[in-house]
Amino acid sequence: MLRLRPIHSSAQLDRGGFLAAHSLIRNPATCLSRSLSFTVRGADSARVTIKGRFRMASEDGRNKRIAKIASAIRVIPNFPKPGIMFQDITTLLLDPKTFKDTIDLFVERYKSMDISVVAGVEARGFIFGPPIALAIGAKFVPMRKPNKLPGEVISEEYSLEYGTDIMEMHVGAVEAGERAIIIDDLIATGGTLCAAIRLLERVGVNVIECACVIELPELKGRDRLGNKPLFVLVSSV
Amino acid sequence: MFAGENGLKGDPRLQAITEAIRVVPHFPKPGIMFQDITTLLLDHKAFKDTVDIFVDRYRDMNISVVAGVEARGFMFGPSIALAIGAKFVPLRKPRKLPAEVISESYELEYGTDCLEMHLGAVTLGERAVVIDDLVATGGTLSAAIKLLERAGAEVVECACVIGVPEVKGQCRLNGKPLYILVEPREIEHCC
Repeated sequence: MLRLRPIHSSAQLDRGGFLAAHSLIRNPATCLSRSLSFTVRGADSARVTIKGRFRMASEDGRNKRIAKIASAIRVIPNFPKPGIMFQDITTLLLDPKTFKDTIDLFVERYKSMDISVVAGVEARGFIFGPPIALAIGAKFVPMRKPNKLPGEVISEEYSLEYGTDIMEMHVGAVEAGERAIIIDDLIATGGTLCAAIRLLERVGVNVIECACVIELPELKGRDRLGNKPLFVLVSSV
Repeated sequence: MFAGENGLKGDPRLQAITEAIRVVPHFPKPGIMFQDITTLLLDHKAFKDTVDIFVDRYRDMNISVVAGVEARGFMFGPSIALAIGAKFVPLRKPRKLPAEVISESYELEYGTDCLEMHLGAVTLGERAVVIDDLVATGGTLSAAIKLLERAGAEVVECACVIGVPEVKGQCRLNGKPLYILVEPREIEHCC
């Protein structure tokens, strides 16, 4: 099984400020304290750099949960084709506490960010998105393959490794000005998430962030999202 | 059994759930009045009430497995599973699940389809409920029940948000009880 490293990603202090931790935690279970470099960006864009050794109790709790989540994901070699190491989240869903922790980590992040839309990408985004939406008081909007949604849709074409695919969203599901996050189980190249971002932005929605359980950093999906923030729980190398 | 006739008679949440469902005529083909639950998902209170009604029913029934049928069963099942402390098991179309699976084929109006479940997802003797958004002929749910039983689980009940009135007379599927929140919405009641 491939080793999954839990990673830190940005934690929002308030609407105007960001605390970004640039540290990769290699073994959170044994890591009691560590040297961290922080950049604090205030609403007026002033930057203050804080360095030092310290332990955040809430951070340890978070890291324990993330380590458990990482170990609950099963890697299936050569699926759907030779050379691909498939990240199987169904084993995570079989562990109620770990599945709950996964949802809680997203809910903790988004509950105070005035998010009114959680968009989930078919089909594994449908597993994580609705529990998050229910917990933060948002609507859930499914982003689907063609010809699944029965009402009037808008469509966005996107590239696959070979050929293209289409993603659809119902007309009227969202309103201009709403604040949205997009959920999928995994980001690889970022093509699917980019299509989802475009669909929402075409109707005037403010996509605040994309959120995934797993990132495959070598496929550079984060770069493909450009200036759109990405929040992930585990990084698979 | 329908919730409104069994324990939830007159419950205003059921009326709100009905009103949150959109009917799309002639989808996917002429003559079909498609019951669109995506509008229910846009109504946070109605969506939450839908989940809560199932959670209230199943939380004390020692259910350790919630199986959801792809894809709309995925929209309801996980929230129920999380609330009752059960595992969520996705039942999927062929070749979506990456590891070893068991498969069950079932009849469509024209042709057949197939439902798959990972080996090892459920263990012998586990008590399971199956969730889907709607039950019509029961073909899909029937295949789901068979998959779980082949793996040794006990299917306690099948639960759907919407059920066609025809299932009233036959409130069981493969002998398993069926629990339904609302009947299909009719077009003249829509805004």
